[in-house]
Amino acid sequence: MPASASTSQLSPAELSYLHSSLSSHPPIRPDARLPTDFRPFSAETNVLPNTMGSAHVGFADGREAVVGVRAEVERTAQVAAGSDAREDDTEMGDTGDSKTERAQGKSSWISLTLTLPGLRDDDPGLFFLEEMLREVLVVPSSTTSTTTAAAAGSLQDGLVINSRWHWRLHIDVVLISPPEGSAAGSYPLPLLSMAIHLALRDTRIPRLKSEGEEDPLADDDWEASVHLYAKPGKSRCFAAGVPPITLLVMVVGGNVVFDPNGTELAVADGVFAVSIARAGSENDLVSILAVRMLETSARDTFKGVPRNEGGNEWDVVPGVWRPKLGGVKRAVLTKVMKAVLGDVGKEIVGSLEAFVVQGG
Amino acid sequence: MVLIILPPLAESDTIPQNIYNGSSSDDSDSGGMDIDSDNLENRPRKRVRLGKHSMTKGSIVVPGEPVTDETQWMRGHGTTTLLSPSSTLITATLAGPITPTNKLLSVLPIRARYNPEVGDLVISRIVSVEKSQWRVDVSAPLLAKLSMSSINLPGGTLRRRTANDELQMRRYFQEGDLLVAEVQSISSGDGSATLHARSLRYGKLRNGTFLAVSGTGGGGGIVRSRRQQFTLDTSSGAQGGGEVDVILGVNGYVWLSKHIEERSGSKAGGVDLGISNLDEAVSAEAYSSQNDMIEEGTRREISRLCEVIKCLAEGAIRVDEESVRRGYEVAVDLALSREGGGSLEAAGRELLEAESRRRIVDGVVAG
Repeated sequence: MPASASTSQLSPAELSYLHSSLSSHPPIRPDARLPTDFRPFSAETNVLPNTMGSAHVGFADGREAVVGVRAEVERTAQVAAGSDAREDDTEMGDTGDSKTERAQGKSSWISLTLTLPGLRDDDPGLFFLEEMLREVLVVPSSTTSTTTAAAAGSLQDGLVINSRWHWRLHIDVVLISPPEGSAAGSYPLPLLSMAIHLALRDTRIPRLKSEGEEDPLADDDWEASVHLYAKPGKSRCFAAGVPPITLLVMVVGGNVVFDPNGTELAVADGVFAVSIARAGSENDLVSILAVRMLETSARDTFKGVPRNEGGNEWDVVPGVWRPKLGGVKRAVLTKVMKAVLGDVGKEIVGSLEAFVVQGG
Repeated sequence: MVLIILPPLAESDTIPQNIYNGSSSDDSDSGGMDIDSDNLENRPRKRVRLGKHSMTKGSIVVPGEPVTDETQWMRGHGTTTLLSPSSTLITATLAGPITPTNKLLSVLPIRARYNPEVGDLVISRIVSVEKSQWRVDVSAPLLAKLSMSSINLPGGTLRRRTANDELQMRRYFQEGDLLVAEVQSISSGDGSATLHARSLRYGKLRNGTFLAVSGTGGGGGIVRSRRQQFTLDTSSGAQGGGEVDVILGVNGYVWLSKHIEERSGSKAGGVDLGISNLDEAVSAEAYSSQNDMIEEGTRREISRLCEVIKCLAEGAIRVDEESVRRGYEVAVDLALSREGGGSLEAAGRELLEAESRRRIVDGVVAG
């Protein structure tokens, strides 16, 4: 996935300075943050009328995202009892005797639409980003055998009403950002993922007055609606756990740096999008759902000009910038995982939990 | 290192209050407003704004709004009299507070793009390389031009620009390079600036980091002052850095770098620089992008300075040498007064908090 185009390129001298600053132990960031410091952002939920859940998140660099979630009742496509219809159900964890256990949902019941300024609706980069954000929502967040049957399911399993009807979730994400160039190529992934998380925490599904196999009939009383994800203090919910969060992590010179801004991303050796979710009901356990490696824009840079004209082109001269070549070592990837699973993941999950509990 | 989630910004928070205080307190005028007028509150909005009440001195007007039709006022920046040639009605052309200075009436824009003037010291970034000139971004409405005859080529100022030089333009400046230059002239056709980097003080920038404080306009942002380039001694900082060069470009771009003593050995042949051999002063080293060794302490202090300047810009304080020095002193005091302020890990972290940023702004305004 190509990194988003940064219209303001940095000079080789700046790149070399940034890279050597970030590679020192401990890394020196241009805005004097710790490697595990996240920039504060502002958030509010329940901002859109006519939605069942919404959130508005604004990051420190001026970018904002608005997410609205709606649900509608949809007829479930009936599968024949025979095995030839089975290949339509390409579900994760779909077993042969699913009919005897709780019903399985389809991941296609959750649709996510993304609107980015300046990108057309059929832009392949847009599709990729949409799918990256969507696929972590449909993965069961906890797969340990000790959890109860209700908790082991995924979001779509909770959307089943009866054998003929299910809920369909529509998540609409709009990124409002300042004009190109001022955001210096910051990847919008963490902002969008944070906004989706908060909107889903805020989403409530209308309570159904019908029971069993009857056609669904919703209760008009909004106060009786049920939260989609478990809200502390309320027992009923559709899906256990919390929606996942995708973090942007970058690696430079062996250091792992969280929440990089645009200038830091320009010198990254590797950029990762790590999706985490709370495993179990306690905030202490965090599980990694997905790791994706993103293209680093440090490859598309000009070489620096050394002081002495002589010398081989491939010589490493300290102080002269060389564009990043090659990939990332496995040991570095392990370091990223350990850092995410350590304090950082817990702090993120804990802070979001605190925000939701206080009624954000 | 908890994730901090703030409530959303209310609309009233976005306009900083300093711009009213800063612009009107500087002026010596305070009583030249005796205009006979009716009580303003009863008048409809379309009428003129200036009245007996001094609070209207800083009140915001929008383009097209009449300001006054008194004959005593001369019109300054941001206003026009051309809309109504028969009368003396002064109309605003920009959105911002009315700023009277003695008898001159101006409107300072709240948010304005940098407009180049002759003699401005600007930091610019190469955007494209054309035949015998470069196009540079100076945060102005138009890209500025830097022609090859306006830079010092190695080998002397009187060296002829050959066709080979034109082919080798990227050897000097590539796309993305940062340089400091001076605005030589403004083209009368489209208003684009032409830069030159003929002095030894100008040229390619290295050993540091870049920062943009554009877009604040009004009272904040970088102002044209006596000294745009100065050196700050950061050894009193918590991490004990060396000297840091600060270049405040008038266009809002800032360059912070390690101060490098002029090496006499780098001059051609190690000859002392005199008036007769100024030509040979520039060697090929001037166009290298090789950084020198920069110590960790200096790097941390540069990061701290970055945050201080951002603080000042957000607080709508004029960014010039004095305010930067004072802001830096306040920031260092803040850091040292915290427990563990001298530790490597905490360098500059105090500036993340809104409280500290407010204290820096207050410290600079008060001091």
